[in-house]
Amino acid sequence: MNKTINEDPAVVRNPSPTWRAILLCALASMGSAAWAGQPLKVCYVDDRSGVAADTGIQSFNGFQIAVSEINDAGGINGQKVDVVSYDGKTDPQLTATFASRCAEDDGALAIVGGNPAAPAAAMIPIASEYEIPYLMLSAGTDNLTDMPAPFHFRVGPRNSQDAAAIAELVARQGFKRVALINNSLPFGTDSAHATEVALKTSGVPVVIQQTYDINATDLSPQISRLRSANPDVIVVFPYAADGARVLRTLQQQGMSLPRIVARSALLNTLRELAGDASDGVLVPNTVDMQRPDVKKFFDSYKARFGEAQPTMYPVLGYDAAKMFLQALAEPAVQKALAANELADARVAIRDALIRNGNYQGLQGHAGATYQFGHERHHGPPDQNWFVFVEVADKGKHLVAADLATFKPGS
Amino acid sequence: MEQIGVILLAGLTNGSVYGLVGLSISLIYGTNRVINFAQGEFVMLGVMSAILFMVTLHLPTWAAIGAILVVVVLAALILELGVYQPLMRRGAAPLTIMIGTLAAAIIATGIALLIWGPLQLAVPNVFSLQALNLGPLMTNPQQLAIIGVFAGLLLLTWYLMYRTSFGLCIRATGVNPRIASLMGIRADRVVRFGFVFSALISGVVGILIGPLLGGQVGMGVTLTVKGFMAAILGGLGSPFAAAAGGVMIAVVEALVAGYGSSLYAEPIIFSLILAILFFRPYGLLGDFEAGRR
Repeated sequence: MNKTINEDPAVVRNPSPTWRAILLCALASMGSAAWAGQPLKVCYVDDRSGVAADTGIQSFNGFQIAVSEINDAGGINGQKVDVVSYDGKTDPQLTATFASRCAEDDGALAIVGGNPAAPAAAMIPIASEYEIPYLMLSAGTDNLTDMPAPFHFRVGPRNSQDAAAIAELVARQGFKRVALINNSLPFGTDSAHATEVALKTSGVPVVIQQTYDINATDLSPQISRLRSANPDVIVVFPYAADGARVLRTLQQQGMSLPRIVARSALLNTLRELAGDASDGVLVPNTVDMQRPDVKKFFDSYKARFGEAQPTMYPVLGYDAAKMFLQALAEPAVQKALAANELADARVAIRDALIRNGNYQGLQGHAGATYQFGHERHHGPPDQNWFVFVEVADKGKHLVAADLATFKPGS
Repeated sequence: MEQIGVILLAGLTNGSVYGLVGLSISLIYGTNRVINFAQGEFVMLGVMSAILFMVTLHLPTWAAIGAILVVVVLAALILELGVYQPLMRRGAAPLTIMIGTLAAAIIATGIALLIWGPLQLAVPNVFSLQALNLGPLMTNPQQLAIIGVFAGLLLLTWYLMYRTSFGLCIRATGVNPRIASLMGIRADRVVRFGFVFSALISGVVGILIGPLLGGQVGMGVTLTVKGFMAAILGGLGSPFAAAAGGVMIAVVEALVAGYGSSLYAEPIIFSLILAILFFRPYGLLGDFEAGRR
């Protein structure tokens, strides 16, 4: 026993050349080991308890699936990815505060989130100030990416792309008299205006356009005016609950003509509240369930979080996470992380997102890719991106749209 | 002609909701000169409790309605005993008590969030939502019930206020609680009644509008704002003036929507309120009610 005790200090006091080499190597690598020992952090900031909670929760679930996939496969170069999440409650100020915390206190490498437009927009200046990549999800206000901020990228489609897709469908199906009805919030007015412009470009006249207050319990004046204009198709730009009221009032007034409702009808709430009044409605979506990879993703989603209708929201979270994780594995990012340079790593991630700009995710038709570039921080392209789905079974399900029957007079 | 009928019916339906919330706000203000910023939260509790009792617990409709009313009465008592009375005992100014009710509204929303979650939920309808023709006009029984209940509750409030000795106590307390107390009126009980009765009205509003607006825990704020607008336009001291203000606001909204665009309804209404207040600072019917006292 004594011998052993006497021997060990001797080893420390007089290390052999071999031990000395090992110790020197360990000390030399401590810079990278300091980062390597910690998980790589990414922040998810979105509304998960306010009026747009549906979207934020679904996107976060999709985001978590992507992160779990990489962690289950051993992480990136052996390092696990750690998610720090914040609920911005549709509050722009709170959301901006959380984004700052991500950049400053949490040491996150990127921020993902932003479904409702106002809080999503509030994170853009934070991303620029802290030079941290920010992947925004479904916030559709066009001008958010018109003048690209250096670290800000949009993964979801913008409102004018929804509008163009709707106008293209309306023209292709042979409709000649379009009625637009929208709520008085920015989403409703912006989308209706963009669609009116797109329809004009397609040569399809808008015979009437009506706006309503989202808290009105009776929308008869607006629907009555729509009826008097004798349209052959109605396009609605609502939020969830008011959209249901529009559809129910249309049903009450016996207006069973073809209807298209903006992407808010992808949310369960609108369809549940509208019930059978929503059946037959067409909704623009960016998820093609004919694609095996999309189907596989929704199977994983169902296994982990329960059944979800095939909408863009979970896919947006998943695609954003996958793009970030792909960038994270790039040598330039790994080199910056090894040097313990957080700021350099963030810049390298931004550059990698641009370099890998033609990423093929789960949105769009098979073969369609994102189109990020130096001057283009809006990912979704104008073509082959939208897939229309139809509401069925008293609002419970979204199925492939039957365009053969979606015609004037049907 | 048909269009103006549609507009007036829509104005009356929406106005009944605004009017009932305005009436509730005014009832409390009439007893203690405090504006209750948690009034919309009573409506929210009515809506969300309907989901709890009708959907989650599958209670029969009338039992569920009874349970909903118990919930809002309990909420009113908590607000009165837990916020209003303690602040009053410490000599807080009405403005401080108003901030207290605002704090209570935010806390109530937070608790509701824990119970019902953040999503907008479907609320079962008590009356049918099927279309109903009234000559050239079209509505549904649920919307008609809103108008009917509005008329019924106005009548009940009028009877209570002007045909009972308790109503006299309410009005006396509203004018001067100290003198009312010296004359043997239990002013604290009158105030408590104001909270409970206004909460009951708001609970009924919740049951009626839930199937039309859907239920979300944050819905109380906008209803409080509409009710407050109604009370200011009509005249804050009188429940009936506030109810009339609610109908006026909704009719103007419907007219703007029917002949223009809802986009401009709120700026027009606020301009109208401002213009009216320049000439009648106590609201349209404020002086009339003051005279009745």
